[in-house]
Parts: sequence; structure tokens; C-alpha cells
Amino acid sequence: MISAATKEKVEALASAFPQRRSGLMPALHLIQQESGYISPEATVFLSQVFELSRAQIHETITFYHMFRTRPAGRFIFQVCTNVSCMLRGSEEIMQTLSEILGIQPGETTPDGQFTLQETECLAACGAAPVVQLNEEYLEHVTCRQIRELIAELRKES
Amino acid sequence: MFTKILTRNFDQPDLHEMEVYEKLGGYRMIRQALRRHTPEEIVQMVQRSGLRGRGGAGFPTGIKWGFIPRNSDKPTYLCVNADESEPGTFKDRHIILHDPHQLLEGIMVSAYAIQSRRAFIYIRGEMAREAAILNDAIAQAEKKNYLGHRIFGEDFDLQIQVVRGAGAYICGEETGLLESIEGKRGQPRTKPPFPAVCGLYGCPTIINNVETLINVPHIVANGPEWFAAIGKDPRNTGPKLYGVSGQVKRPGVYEFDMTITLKELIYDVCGGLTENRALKGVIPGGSSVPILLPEEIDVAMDFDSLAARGTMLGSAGVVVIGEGTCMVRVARRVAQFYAFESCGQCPPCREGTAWLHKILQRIESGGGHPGELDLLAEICDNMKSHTICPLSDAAAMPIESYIRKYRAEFEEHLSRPGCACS
Repeated sequence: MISAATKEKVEALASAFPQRRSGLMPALHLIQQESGYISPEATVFLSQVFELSRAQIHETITFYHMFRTRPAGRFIFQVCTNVSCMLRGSEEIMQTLSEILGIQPGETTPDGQFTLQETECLAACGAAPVVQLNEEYLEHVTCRQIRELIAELRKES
Repeated sequence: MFTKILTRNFDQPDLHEMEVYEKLGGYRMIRQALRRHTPEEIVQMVQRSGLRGRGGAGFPTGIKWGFIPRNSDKPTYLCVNADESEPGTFKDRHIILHDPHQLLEGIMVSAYAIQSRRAFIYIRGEMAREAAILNDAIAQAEKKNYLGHRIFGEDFDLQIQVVRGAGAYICGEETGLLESIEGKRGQPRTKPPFPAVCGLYGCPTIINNVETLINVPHIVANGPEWFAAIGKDPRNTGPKLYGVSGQVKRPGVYEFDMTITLKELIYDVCGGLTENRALKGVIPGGSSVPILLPEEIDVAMDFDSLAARGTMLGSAGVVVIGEGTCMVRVARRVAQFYAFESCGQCPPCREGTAWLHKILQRIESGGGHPGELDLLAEICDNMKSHTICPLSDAAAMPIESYIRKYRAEFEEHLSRPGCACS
């Protein structure tokens, strides 16, 4: 369900740029932030607001790695495994996360709490290894820190 | 002795607050530009300064600005490339996190120069916090009428909007970026027409990197001759940010003129390698550029000296690799990145990046076949100069260099499974 407040914001985005379609990317971010993913229902809504076909909405969604068409976990761990992070131990970080959560990269725990993903360079290489937890950057990450963090998040959930 | 220019205030607390930025002299340079100079004068100053784009290609900024057609009846747009995604590069994010107003001032002066009344900052989708920092800085500036109608009380209007990407390396390519701002798939456009003539919404458009733009106010305030005198070489002028990562003791973003050598950066500035291990190789300008061997690092970190060594300054993201690292693994990881990020519209890139990754994965895991190193070289050769945008070349060049410079290590992987290096 898209809330009335989000609907209103999305409609405002359609006239925030010189051309209507430019509002689509910000609108997708808004909807994903609220619902966790872009549902078929949201696609229909967006096609009406932006005066585009559903196929056009879908082609934009599927081009960008960050947009999801299915729900993900409440806590999304994205581990950068690109070269700078690899040289600083990102493989161990990934392995630790995978062991503790009992899932492989690309999977979500059965309780829907945690998603684990491999990601590309996050432009924070000076602080490698870097992990993104939802929108937050975790820098100079250690395996110990990861264990403590997961224990905390499990208590919360 | 080099004195910091762009990052000189970065350790000041609360620099993202308007009052702090202004107390340190901020927004004086834009006032000076609006009151004392015509737009044409600023374009000429930037041309005379020798400033070259800091995003990767090193194209002279003033010359790019000169391509904007005069007397066009269409609006001109300025797009700021903050889609910093080249692996090993982290300078633009550093600028935005510490000093967002300096970027806004750079945009203001540059927009005035090219007579653009609307600017867009295209920032990586992953950088939610940085986008919020920019939006906050814009709101502060709007409140004081530093943005909006008749900014600073002068005859110039400017609106700046932040647009977030959503995870696509290719949108750092300037025409991919334009497609993305238009809400489409970020697939690069064929050129010509060049964006300066037909860019965003079919209108004249300039796309500049974050670091490039923050140089502009300093050029206007201190004069192009002052800027051109920074460094030794008239083709490589002004201050430069270097992001050093990998196996060094003090990784980070550092500002110098372009006379600094790669060796000095690694050993004097960053304190050498972690655990004092020996150096195995250095990527000097982001993952797209050919690697340098330890005996090749006594080279000035400028566009032309690195080109003379067969590599590139690129985005100045320096990745330091120590002994004990498997180069086949590095090659596989780099290939994986380009295979994942290829937009898929040109077959040499779509197929080439995927095959490089598959073959290198096989070699890494001990399943490679004899002759596959030559096959990789042939694939790389077929990927270069055959596509709409440079991603394909960017994927082929580093892989070629790894195989050429560490061939024995690749051959060892072919002759027996497993890895002797780790």
C-alpha cells in the first residue's frame, strides 16, 4: 500500500523537473523507502502519474540495482567485495555474516529479518572494509563488530 | 611546499553549516564573480588556468564550456557528476561530506559562466546521507537568497536540484547520466551530437565532476595565472585530490599539486605498506587503468606522466597491492565488476565483460585451460574502441595489463589448481 502522503509527494515530483519523467527515479526511491520494494500496484500508480506505460516504468526499475520488485529483509547487509575492500579483508566479513545469518549472499533469512548481498565499490575505500546496513555506511568493519551488531539487531527484532 | 587549497577547511567542525562556511570566507568568490566579471571572462579565465576535468578523462574544462552554442533559444543545463563509482575512488564523497557549500559555490560560479539557470547534482543512490547533506546545504542557501531568483541581489537566477541514482556505474558516463536524470535506463548515447550542443532534454548541457567544479571559484578569486603556476607542468595545473586505499598504513584522501610522485604518496604520505610488506603493484587511477609494477612508481601523479608510463591518472584512486595478494584473484574481481555493470547495449562489451569474468573465474579456481591467457588477450583486443562508451575499454585495459605484467602467476594457476600466493 502506498500511503496518501507518499502519493501526494510522488504527484508533486511529476512537475518538479523540466520534463515529467525525471520525477520517476525520485518517486521510485520514495516508494521503496516506504514499502521496501516496488510492487505491481505501485507500478500501475506510477504509470498513471508519469503518463508512461507499465513497461516503461518497469524498464527503468530493472536497470538499476538498488530498486527491488520483491520485499527484502528488515536489515539489509551489503558487503563491498571490490578490490580495495578485498585487500582489507572483506571476504572474511562476508563469510562471517554468511555463517552467523545462515544464508548465502543474495538470500534473506526465513524470518524475513536479514538480507545479505555482495555490493560494488561504495566510494569509501579509505575506510575499507566497508559494509552498508540499510542506508548507513559501516567503516573499518571487523568480524567481531559484525558479531556484536547482529546480536544487537536480533534482540531488537 | 604545497599549501592545501580545496581541503584546507575540512577539519573545521560544522563546516556544512552556512555560518561556519561564510566565516571562513565562503560565498565571497561567487559575489566577486557576479559583480566583477562577465560570464565570458570567467570562461576565458578557466581556459587560461589549464584546469582539466577531475572525473577521469582530463579534458580541459574551459574548452568544454566553450562548446556551448551562443544565442541558443534553449535553456542551458549544468549537471554535476557526483556518481562516484569507479572502484578505488572516494574523493568526491569526501568533498560532499565535509564541505557541501564549497561545491554549491563552485556550481554557482560555473553556472553563471555558462549562463545556466538550472543545475542538477546527480549523486549515487547509495549515498543517501550525502544527498541529505547537499539538500540541507541547498535549503540553507535558498533561505539566504544565495539560490533562487536574483541570487545575491544580482541579475542571475539559479536553481540547484539533487537527483539520486540507484546503483549503476554506467550513469557516471556523462550521457548515461543524462538518460538517468531523464528517468530512463542509463544507457550511454552515441556522440555526436555532444552534450554541449544536445544534452539534457535535448538542450545544451555541461557535465562536470564535483572536484573539477570546486576549483573554479579559486581560479576566479586568485586569477588563472596563480592556478597555472601550481605544479611544474603547464599541462597539469592546480591542486589535485588523491584517494589512496588498499594495503597502506594511512589510507585516505590527500591534496597535493601534481608534482607529487606515486612513490612519495605511498611511502611518505601514507606511511608505506601495512605490516611492512613489499609492494606488488599499484593501480594509480581507479580500477579501469593499467597497473604499475614496483619499479614503475617513481612517476609524477599527473595526466601526462602516467600516460607516458602506459597508464592513466583517471580518477586518481590509488589502490596499493602488497606481496601475498593473488593477481588472478584481483583480475577476476575487477572483471566481475565490469561484467556486472555493463549496460548491455553494445555486444563487444556485453559479451566481452561476461567472458573475461567467466574465464578468469575458471582460472582462479584451477579449471583453466592452456592457451586461455592468449584467448583473454584476444577478447580484450576485440573489446577496445568498438563500443558507444568507454566501459568496454575500461574493462579490457586493466585485465590486459595484469596478464602482461604478472604472466608467470597466471600460468602457474593454469598448470596446477590452487593458489601459491595466499
